Amino acid sequence: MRNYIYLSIFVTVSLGALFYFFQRTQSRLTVKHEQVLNLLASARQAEATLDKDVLKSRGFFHLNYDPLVASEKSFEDVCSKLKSLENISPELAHALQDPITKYCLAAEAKLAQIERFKSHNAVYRNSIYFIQKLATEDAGRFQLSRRTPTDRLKKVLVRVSLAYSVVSTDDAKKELETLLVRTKEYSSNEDLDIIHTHARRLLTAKAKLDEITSSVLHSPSPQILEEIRVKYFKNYKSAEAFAHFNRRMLLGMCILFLLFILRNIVLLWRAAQKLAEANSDLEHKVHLRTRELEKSNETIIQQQQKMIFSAKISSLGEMAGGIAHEINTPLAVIVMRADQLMDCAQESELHPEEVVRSLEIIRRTTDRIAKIINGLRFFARDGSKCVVQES
Amino acid sequence: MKFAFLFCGWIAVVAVGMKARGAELYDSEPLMPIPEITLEGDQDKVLLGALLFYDKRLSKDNTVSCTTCHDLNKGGADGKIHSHGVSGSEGEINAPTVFNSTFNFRQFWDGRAKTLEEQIDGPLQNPKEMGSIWSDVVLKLKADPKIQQLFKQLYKEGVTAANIKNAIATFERTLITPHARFDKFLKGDTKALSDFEKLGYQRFKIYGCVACHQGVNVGGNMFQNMGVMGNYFKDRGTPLTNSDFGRFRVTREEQDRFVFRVPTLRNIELTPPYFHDGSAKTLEDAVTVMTKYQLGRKISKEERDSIVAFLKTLTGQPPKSLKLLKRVERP
Repeated sequence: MRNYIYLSIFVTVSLGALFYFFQRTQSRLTVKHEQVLNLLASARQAEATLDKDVLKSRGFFHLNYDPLVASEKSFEDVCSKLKSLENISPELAHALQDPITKYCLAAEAKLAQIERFKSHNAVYRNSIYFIQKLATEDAGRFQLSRRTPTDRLKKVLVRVSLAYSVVSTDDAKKELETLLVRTKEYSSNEDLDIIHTHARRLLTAKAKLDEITSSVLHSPSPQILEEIRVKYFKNYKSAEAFAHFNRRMLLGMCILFLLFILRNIVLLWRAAQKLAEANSDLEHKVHLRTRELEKSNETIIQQQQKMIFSAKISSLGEMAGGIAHEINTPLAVIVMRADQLMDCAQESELHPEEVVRSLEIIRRTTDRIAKIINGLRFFARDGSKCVVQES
Repeated sequence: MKFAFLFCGWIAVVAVGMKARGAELYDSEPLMPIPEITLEGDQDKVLLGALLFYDKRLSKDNTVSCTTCHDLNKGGADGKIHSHGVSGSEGEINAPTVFNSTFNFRQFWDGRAKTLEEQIDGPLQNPKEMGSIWSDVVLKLKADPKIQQLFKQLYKEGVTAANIKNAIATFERTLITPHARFDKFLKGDTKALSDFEKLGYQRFKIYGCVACHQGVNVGGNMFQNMGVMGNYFKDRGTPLTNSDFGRFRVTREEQDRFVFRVPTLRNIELTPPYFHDGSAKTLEDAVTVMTKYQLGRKISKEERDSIVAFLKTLTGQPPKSLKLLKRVERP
């Protein structure tokens, strides 16, 4: 019984522990899920901000790169966070390892591109500024129509460069290129030389800038992130399904255990009841039996007494026969002696000695009879009621 | 009557325009003032970092500390073309200032370190600078009960390489020089700069210096090619050294050849010589070289002087933590 209680306590406690543990893993699963979702969302957010900042910094309107640097840093952080996914869940990190490494490589490449973007952008901006300034300055100067061939060339170069910086079609590019080739022949002029250098810088920097910007904006990282997301969800779904299965199993086991305990309790209760019933029944029976026994005991004693009595009676009969025999013999002696005396008296031959002797014999014989009678009386009396015997 | 009305209108237009300019001044400027910091948070770590910053045991033969090359009384650099490391060896590159280095987006001229912590590995393990290895440094510092106790108070793990780096970097993060005259100007005090200096600032912006030297640290947030508009290294006349390749040594990509992190111009007055090779001895030289090779412009003496005058307004007050240090016994 005690063992049984211990067992049930143990089972309940272990079930409770299991349930608690299960609940905790379950909550951790959801927390993890949230964390990873946040991480992915923040990655996307960081990249979007970065792209926006790059576009904003492009050209010459937004000069301060500090915000861009800040968004670069947050984008970089995303990578280290993705890499530290292991702290959240090792299996997950293992499953997502490949795309994450791919993503980080892409991100690194993107950041390197952005570094180049910044430097080319600075060069581009400076050349545009230079040419714009020349254009505005020279617009005034050319109106005074001091038209040496070099001046004209300068003017054309400045205008074409400016046009290219604004329009940047292939035609404008070609024109600028041919113009640059042409101006090279006049490179003896120092001013023209400077304009030439700037125009060339503008050309290369702009081409480079376009290339870099498009590579930054079309970097594969968002796709890889999407890949990570899809893979994660796949993973999460299978994990979730497994957890769900586990949950069901555990719940079923709990219910089974509870049912088992309940069944045992019911059985125990029933057994206890039966035991109590049997107990009360037994008492009744014992009572009955005792009474029966008492009764039969009484009859046995009665019968025994009766038997003793009848035995006594039968022995009395035997004894009466014996007594009759015992008394008969002295009586015959007395009768014979009395007859002898009577004969003697009739014949008058009575001798006193003879009479005395016969009387003595009679006397002795009667005594004997009396003795026998006495003994008989003693014998015939009920022994159980005999005071002498009891004492 | 009509004249008076027109005059009033003109005054109003001028006033509105001036107000608009004043409001715009701070927000739209490409340069930003240094933010204020409070030292209260990590004061103990800052002090420990300072102790380590002055500690010669970080070097192989206990002769060189961080301050050997980054003298905090000389603008965070040492004024030499190349600094001298352990056993008299000469470094390869001009020591950049440690002041305001926390605002740099990368550390080193080639930007190979992303954080100040990472940066400390460089000079400490460079055989021409401190020439030591972390395990030795940790052992040496562990032998000092005072240092060890300080570490135990502040860090769970006690003396480790990471914690040493963190302490020093924490100290370095406090080495900022706010309240430069130019910062006051940025914050709206138009009288903080003279007209000549303001002119210098205007030219700094118009000529395009600001395309690279911008942000809080007047530089230090991007990489740039040394010699965009001309071949600086060919014209310099001295043979190329390893350090001249700049970022190429980190990325090994052809387009990163001669690319350097744009240095900060804050406290530039205090830290000659200039450039990674220390080739410019004065600010005037540096400005001339920069305008020629980076901006593709010729610059007149007057223009140059105005820009130099502007650059001198970038000198800030010494870092707060230095005052704090004076109160503590220096090792």
